[in-house]
Amino acid sequence: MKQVFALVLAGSALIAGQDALAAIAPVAAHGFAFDAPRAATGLSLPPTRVSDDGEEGTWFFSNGGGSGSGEDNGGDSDDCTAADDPSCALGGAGNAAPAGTVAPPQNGLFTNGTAPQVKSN
Amino acid sequence: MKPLLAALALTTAIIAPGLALARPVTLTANLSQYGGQGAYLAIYVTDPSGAYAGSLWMAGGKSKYYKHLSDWARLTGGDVAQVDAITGASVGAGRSLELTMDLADALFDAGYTLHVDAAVEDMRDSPGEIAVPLTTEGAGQPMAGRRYVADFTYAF
Repeated sequence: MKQVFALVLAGSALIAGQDALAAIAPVAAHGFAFDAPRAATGLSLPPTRVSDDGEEGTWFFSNGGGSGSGEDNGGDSDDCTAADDPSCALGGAGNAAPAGTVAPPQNGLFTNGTAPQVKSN
Repeated sequence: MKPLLAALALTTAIIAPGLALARPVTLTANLSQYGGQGAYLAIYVTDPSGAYAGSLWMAGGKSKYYKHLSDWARLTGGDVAQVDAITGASVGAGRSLELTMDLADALFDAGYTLHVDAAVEDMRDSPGEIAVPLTTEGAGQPMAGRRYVADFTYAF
């Protein structure tokens, strides 16, 4: 009888310990932590992919926004103007000459000497 | 009278081939609201064998970012001279780029393909954003891009 009592006591202690550990474990350790609130709202959300290891790369350094981008851009422009980056001066730092500064390339695609006209809004 | 006729015939013979060899083409790229910074776009052409034929436009001025336009960079070896004088500003999300240029007539209905590579800071690169055969039939028909370009059209 004492052995049975000891086994029940040991089992209870183990179960109680697991519950206690679950209560203090990080949320990430148990993936269904957010299921209860979601179920309470009655919404059924599809799984969201948070990581994608495709073959395509991403920019790996930050340098602010482009001149064509929105007003919420911060930092430097990623377009090249000599005013904000001396290395962007014509012929500087290996950047291409901006349109209108020299004749377009004679690559056989354009009628020679005619520069493309650009509009951006 | 005969000299006048001869002169007229001569000038016509000189001018007519020039008119027939090129046509004004408008390229329009409408960017989607992708929620990022200005997009770099490389617009270029490959020949029927898939070899690089030439660049038409580079949107984005800093050559250090051109490697992210990876198909263009692979085909050109990253040669910045390919886009000398045909380089302008990057294009913001939700905005449009419209280019008008005289393109060689020989590019159309001859197996040439127009490509657009796209890249946006801190977002995924998109080589082959657009690849559209240059045909007279395809002119004026919008084509959807893969990631950043909502639609792209070339029109005569």
